[in-house]
Amino acid sequence: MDIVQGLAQGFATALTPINIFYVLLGCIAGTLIGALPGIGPPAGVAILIPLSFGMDPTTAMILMAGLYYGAMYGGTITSVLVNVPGESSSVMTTLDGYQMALKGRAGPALGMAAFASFIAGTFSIVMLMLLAPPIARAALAFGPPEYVGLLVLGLTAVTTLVGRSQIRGILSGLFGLMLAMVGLDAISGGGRYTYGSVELLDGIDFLPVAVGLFGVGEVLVSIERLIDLKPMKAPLRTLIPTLEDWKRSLSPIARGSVAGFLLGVLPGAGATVATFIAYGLEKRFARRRSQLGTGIIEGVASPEAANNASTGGAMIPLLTLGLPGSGTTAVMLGALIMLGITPGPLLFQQRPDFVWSLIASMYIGNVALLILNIAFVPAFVWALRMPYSILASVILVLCIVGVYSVNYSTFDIWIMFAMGVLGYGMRKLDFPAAPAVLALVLGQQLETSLRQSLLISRGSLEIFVTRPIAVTLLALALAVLVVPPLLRRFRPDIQRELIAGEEI
Amino acid sequence: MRRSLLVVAVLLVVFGAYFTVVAFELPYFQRITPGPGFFPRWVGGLFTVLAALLFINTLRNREELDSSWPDRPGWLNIGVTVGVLAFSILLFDRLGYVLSMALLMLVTMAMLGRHRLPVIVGVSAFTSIGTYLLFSTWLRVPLPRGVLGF
Repeated sequence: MDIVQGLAQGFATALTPINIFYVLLGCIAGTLIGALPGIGPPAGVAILIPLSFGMDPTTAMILMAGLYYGAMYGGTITSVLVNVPGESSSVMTTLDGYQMALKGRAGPALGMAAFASFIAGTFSIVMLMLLAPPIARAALAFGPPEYVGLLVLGLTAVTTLVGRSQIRGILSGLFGLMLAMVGLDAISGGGRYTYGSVELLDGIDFLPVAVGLFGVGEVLVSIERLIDLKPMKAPLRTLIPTLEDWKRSLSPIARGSVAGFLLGVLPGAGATVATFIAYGLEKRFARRRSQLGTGIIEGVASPEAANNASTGGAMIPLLTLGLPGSGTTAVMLGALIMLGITPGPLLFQQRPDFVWSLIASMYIGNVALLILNIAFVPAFVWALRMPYSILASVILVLCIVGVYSVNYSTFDIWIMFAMGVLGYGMRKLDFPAAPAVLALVLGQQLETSLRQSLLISRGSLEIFVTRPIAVTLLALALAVLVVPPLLRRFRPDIQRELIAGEEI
Repeated sequence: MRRSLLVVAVLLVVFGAYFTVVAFELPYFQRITPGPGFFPRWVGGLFTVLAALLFINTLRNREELDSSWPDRPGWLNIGVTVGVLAFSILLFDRLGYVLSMALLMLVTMAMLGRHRLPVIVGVSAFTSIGTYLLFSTWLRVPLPRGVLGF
């Protein structure tokens, strides 16, 4: 199916009333979750999953994706008006965004952020549309050894590039693999680590773990010290940026879009790192670079472009290889598997309707978000006034009912509870949570591919060295593992830019 | 924080070692195929080694840490929330969905915020009954009904 034909069919599906409703719902929920600190996109998507049961998988994915990129828009509102980032991906926006608000220019800051997000988001969907099919076609030749290489590369990238400590990242990833081993062994059919429990024989589902680590864990961290957000009363009559603002923002938006897209494709980098790199680029290339941080529009346009461009990029490995690069996309992968869709190279052949409808819905969603974030900003600002004490208790209830709805199991709620407490401890001690969830989702596939490879080779590890693609992927994984510590030793300045923050 | 990380590293070594020991009870190879014990041994072993490395690195001050534990009111918030969360999960099947969730919300809101009683009761009732209707009526999830029949 060529692009034009695919896209036409995609729009036909995406423009049905039910899909329009869910893309709008996803975008509104995403903007809210983005704007509210104390709940992030991975928890948001995880809580949505039970709602999507019984839905057509395409509609479910349209909803989840809408929330994912919608959150990138929403984060700006809190950054600019409260000086508190709604998400880690809008930390950089606080620097110039809040300064602009202090100068009475909150309106143009928010307006330009919305336009930059829209341009960059659309750019990244175009790139997704052009690049994903050929990548999927190339990946069709992958056998078990190549999948081992791919999965190892994906996991090492996420465990290494995320957070401040490589060891803690890898430990988190290995913990996810350990969780994935609980239950029936996929190949021999025997039970492992079940301790005679019927519930554990079924294995540990990813949803209670994801909801616990991301949702409950985040609530516990946020209630340590409750701050009621007081959005500044900024004049929002003029959300449309001036011509001067546009002239200054065009190159930053272009730079941010390209950097954001590329970093989105890389596993482990993602939106947060993208904003740090984009802001770094402005410090080097912007004409008014010396004024960055004092409230100039370039400092808002570029990171906001970058975090949105990363979303389309992140969809490429997720859809073509089944390899998510961040917490949110890992949760989406888990959800898709539950809905009976297996992302990977075959998806583009077997379910082109799914892929193209998703892409079409992303175009629609970005238009909707642009309108939402220009016309309805006051509504979202109003929502920020909800005290976190109320929000926290509502989130906890949604976590519980969501987890229960999957297997009707109170045991799953206990797992969520345990993971919530664990997630709190992990956050405090800087163990990133995303690698654990990602490894849990991918663990079984990694083990099965590994054992299948060794079955093909009759137990010889040579198979990973003699197949060119497999060896390249494994060599890259080794490089990902070895280069950051070397950088840390010899070029601490570069390393500091790379460990910007945990991508969630 | 450094001391906490040291303690955690020791716990992780113990956990990893235990996981690996259990893995040794599973068959490593079944004829020419790697068996169910193959992957757990390697993962568990690596986990144990890295946890030990984390301990050594932390001792030598080479692990960055920049958050701190909460103050007393912070611990109180977390303790009460975790406690009431566990309590309402414990009573989830017996009390039923609506009551146990209302209890959870009443306590957390009263603890964390300064709201008037009608607000707390209203929000709890609205959310627990609203989600009950949404999930059990619309999505047909058999939520536990408990003592009151809902």
